[in-house]
Amino acid sequence: MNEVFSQLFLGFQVALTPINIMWTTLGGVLGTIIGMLPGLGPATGVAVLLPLTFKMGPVGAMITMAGVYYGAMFGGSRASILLNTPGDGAAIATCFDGYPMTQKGRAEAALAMSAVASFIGGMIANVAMVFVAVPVAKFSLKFGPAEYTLLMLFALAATAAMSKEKILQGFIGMVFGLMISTIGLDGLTGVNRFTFNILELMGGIDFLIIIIGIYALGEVFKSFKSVHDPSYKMQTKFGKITFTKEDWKRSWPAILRSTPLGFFIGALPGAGGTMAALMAYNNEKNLSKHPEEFGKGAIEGLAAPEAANNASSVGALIPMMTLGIPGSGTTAVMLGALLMLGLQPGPLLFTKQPEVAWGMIASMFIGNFILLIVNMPMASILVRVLSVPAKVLYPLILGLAFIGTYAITNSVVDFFILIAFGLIGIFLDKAKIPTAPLILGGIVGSTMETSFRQALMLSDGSPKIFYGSTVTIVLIGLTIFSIAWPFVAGAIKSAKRARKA
Amino acid sequence: MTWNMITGLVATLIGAAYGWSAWNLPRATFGNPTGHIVYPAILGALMTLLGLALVVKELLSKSPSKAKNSPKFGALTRHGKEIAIAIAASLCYALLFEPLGYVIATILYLGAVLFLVNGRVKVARTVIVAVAFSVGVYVLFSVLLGIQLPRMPILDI
Repeated sequence: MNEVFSQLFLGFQVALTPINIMWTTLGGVLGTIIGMLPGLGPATGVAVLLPLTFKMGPVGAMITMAGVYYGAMFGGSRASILLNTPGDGAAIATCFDGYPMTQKGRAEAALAMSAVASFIGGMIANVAMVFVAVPVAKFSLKFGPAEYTLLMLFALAATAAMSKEKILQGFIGMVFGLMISTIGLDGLTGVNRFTFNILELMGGIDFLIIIIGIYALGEVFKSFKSVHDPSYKMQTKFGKITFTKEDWKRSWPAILRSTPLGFFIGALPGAGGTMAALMAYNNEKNLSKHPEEFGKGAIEGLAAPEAANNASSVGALIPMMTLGIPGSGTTAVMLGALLMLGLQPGPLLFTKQPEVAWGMIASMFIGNFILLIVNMPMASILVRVLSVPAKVLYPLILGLAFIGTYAITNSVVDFFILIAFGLIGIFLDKAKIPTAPLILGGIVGSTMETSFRQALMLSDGSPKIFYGSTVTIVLIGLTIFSIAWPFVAGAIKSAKRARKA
Repeated sequence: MTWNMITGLVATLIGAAYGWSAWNLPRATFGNPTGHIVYPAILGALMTLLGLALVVKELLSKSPSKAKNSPKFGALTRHGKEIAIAIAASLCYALLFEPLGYVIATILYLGAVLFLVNGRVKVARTVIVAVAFSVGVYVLFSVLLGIQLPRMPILDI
């Protein structure tokens, strides 16, 4: 236990240097702004801001990217409350009661409560992370290549199986991502795979470019449709951004209930902020003494999802940092960025580079305070960003996407790959193929193949290594469960309905 | 032809082509001769199966809203046209990036895309935004971050 506190102390020493406080603020504020803009979420934010982190060094990069992630959770609610348009997926549930509050003239209370709920959710989740991270990392040190292969398979399958209706599409996306990661010169045998004799493909396709293509180019192309909508009518004059005692009395139990829920859901692979927020909302609605007020401006219906989605963004960092396995699109992007900076997230990160791991954790405490100030007293200034026309903003994101690509590889050839994946992004959207499994597959693909082949080398080619130990059997069980669960849950639900009828 | 049908067929095709070319990769001269083949071969087979499953599922389904879930061919919508123009502009940008240097190429590209979505109103804003962004990013990257961007021809700045 003392070890944890001394490490955390080290982390604060890193995070409290002026330059790192600046990166925390920068990441958090940029994340808030990107989170506010409809259509753009934390994954796009991290992808587009990537080149800025190149010169920061690993600690600064990590702190900034984490700031973008939880900053987006703060920011997403602004558009939900004021425009009834979620700034990102995780803020959908915030529309349900946030916008009715605005219609009733209570926008100030809604903005204030969502900031406070986000703050509390994030802070409690940070404390939980301090105590959970090291034990998880230590446990995973015992994993061999076979266990790692299966663990990645579990994370991928759980993400692909998120939606029952689109399960096949999810897996198709996942395998496509894995396929892309096999392109290039194979390091172990020196054979060129799937390069079509194109010299530039020998080094493989940099997955960050695919991410920028799908999340930045693709998203902007898609939003050309909405760009011509008459500009939103938004409330721009606000009173004091605060809430009443009565509001607080109704909200705090909801916040405390939703935080652990969000943290847990966030740490699971596949499920993310969106699901955490929706579950927290439904949970509060079921527990409430006046469920009829939900959807008409009940403040606890706003506080619950906001606490949950911030807690989930912290939870989602745990598998990425401790196991090196991302459980969501955003953490996959972060992992890709860290690999490029020469860091290997995973169990060894905490022992080999404690200043990076703990510096980031400590920065999240500081960042939450900064964002509380940014999102409460300064909220009325910040939401002016929402009145900058999308017609100006979105073309600039295209510009940022190209400069980001160039900064990563210094090669114009990758521009064509970028454009191609922008087009693929549009196709994925039309064909309703979820993007998260594809991105996840692409990021963990080469690590997974390496682990797979190492395992087979250890066992002299016998596949028994993948089902020979307790851990592997548990992991296989979890994988099957995560694929079967959506169907089982559906069956239970319809059985219940049949009984009621 | 629904979107799901297209997805299924494309996935089957990609899976088969990928799996087939994986199988025909040259055997390694050192190490495990098929070490680099087993994993992609599994992926190819899996993709083929997933694609076929989606095709079969789509053939069996009797959903009445098929028309809604199918792509429409023929004349592009306004949205489709704008995307096509934006992509064409992006391709031109990629081709002109090095010959024209970062600043000029970016001013032209952003100007084109901004003009595309804003039209003839507020041309002044379009020009100011395009120039300010290009110069600003150039300064930020080459001066502050030390990332070399293609320089302007002749003037060489």
